[in-house]
Formats: sequence, structure tokens, C-alpha cells
Amino acid sequence: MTALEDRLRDVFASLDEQIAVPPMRTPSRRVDVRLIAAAAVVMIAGGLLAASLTDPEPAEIGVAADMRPADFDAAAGDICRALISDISGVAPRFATVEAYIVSAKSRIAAIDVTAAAISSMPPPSDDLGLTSRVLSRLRAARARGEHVVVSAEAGRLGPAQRSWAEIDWILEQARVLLGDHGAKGCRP
Amino acid sequence: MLREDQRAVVAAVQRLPKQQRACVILRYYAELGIDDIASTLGISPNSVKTHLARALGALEVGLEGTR
Repeated sequence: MTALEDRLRDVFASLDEQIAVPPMRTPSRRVDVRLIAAAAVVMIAGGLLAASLTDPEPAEIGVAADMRPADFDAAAGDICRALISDISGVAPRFATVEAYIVSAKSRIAAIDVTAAAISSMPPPSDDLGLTSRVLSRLRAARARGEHVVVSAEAGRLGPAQRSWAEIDWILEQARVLLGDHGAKGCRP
Repeated sequence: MLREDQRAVVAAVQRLPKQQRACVILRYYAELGIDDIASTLGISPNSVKTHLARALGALEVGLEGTR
């Protein structure tokens, strides 16, 4: 393991702590916490999704001020393009639990990197709550991804497929928020 | 809160070409093996290894002086 690889793992572990609940890599807790997260997603209706019953709306992460709306939109556009690139073409090729698990983990990883990038920027000065609303959608999409993994690991392909189908729909909601603000790269 | 050096890593990963970025994220975040990454992306395991090697090389250069 090189120093760079250590550094990569350190950053991704920090993402686990700050953005996503439950974390992807805590085997002893993984099943219980994922089931709680999956149950929370099922119980909460509409767009008001939470990744965990114990995790409130995230506070501003690494943000001390705001930024010009045009600058925010330009950066958000780049982030959206990277996300679209990361998820395009990645889908279960076969209706097997293994395919859904691998594809869902890929989605979760792309979502977490996107969330880290969004939360690293100050919000736009004309909508200070935009970043939080986008992160909320990303967390909801991540929870769907976690549900895919949990269901597939339990051999329940039907629920896994239904949750899989919802991930990109929720991600589109996040992109629409940014696109409506003015980020061209986020518009469908 | 992400430290400044951690944000530099995130930004550097975001700048990688698509396949290299995907391989790095799947390897070091999702902790997938080479064969699983190859299956996910629809490429050969050797291509995964090549993308990872190039990505790490690019990250070494891009992150020089950020720690």
C-alpha cells in the first residue's frame, strides 16, 4: 500500500463519516444499520427522504461563506457532468444478485464522490439552502442503493430491482435542483 | 469537515478521465476486486489494472505539494 493509496482510503473513509449513513465498510454494523436505513426510506413518503432515523439534515460541510451564483453554477455543471459520466453504462447486465450488488456499489461510490464535491463548495449567495437540498437528494439516492445491496444480499431480487429503478430518478431530482438554479451541465 | 488536503484529493479524482476515475472509486472506496471492477465497467481486468496505474500516476503528479 503506497502513501497515495493510504491517502485515497483516508479521504473515502472521511466521506463515510460525513456524508453517508450507514458507512459502506463497517461489516459488523453493516446489516443492522442498512436495514434501519432501508426501513426509514420506505416509511418516509414523497421527496422527504432521510438516510437514517438518527441523522438529521446535514450541516454545512466545509463551507464558511457563499459564492457568486454564476461561479457556483459553473462548478456544479462540472460535477453533474462527472456524475452522469460515472453512472452511464453501469447497470446490472444480468438479473442476478451479484450483478445488482456490484452495480449498486458503483452507484453509491459515484454518489459519495459527487456529494463530497458539492459539499466542498460554498452555496450560491442567492440560495443558501441549495447545497443542503441537493445533498438530501443524494443521500436519498444512496439509501436506495444501500437497499439494493441489502435486498440482493438477502436473495430478494424483486425489491432490489425496484430500488435500483429509483436511484437514477432521485439523482435526476438533484440535478434538476442544480439545473433550475442555472447549472447548464445539470439540465436533463 | 473535509480538510483542505482531502478536498484536494477529491478534486484531483474528479479531474481524472472517466474510466480512470471509475476504477479509482471502485477500487479504493467500494473496495471491489479487479475482476468485479472489470465486470461492472464491461472491460478486461488488464484494462482495469492499466487504468488504475495511470490514475495513480496522474494523482501523484496532481497532488504534489498538497500535503
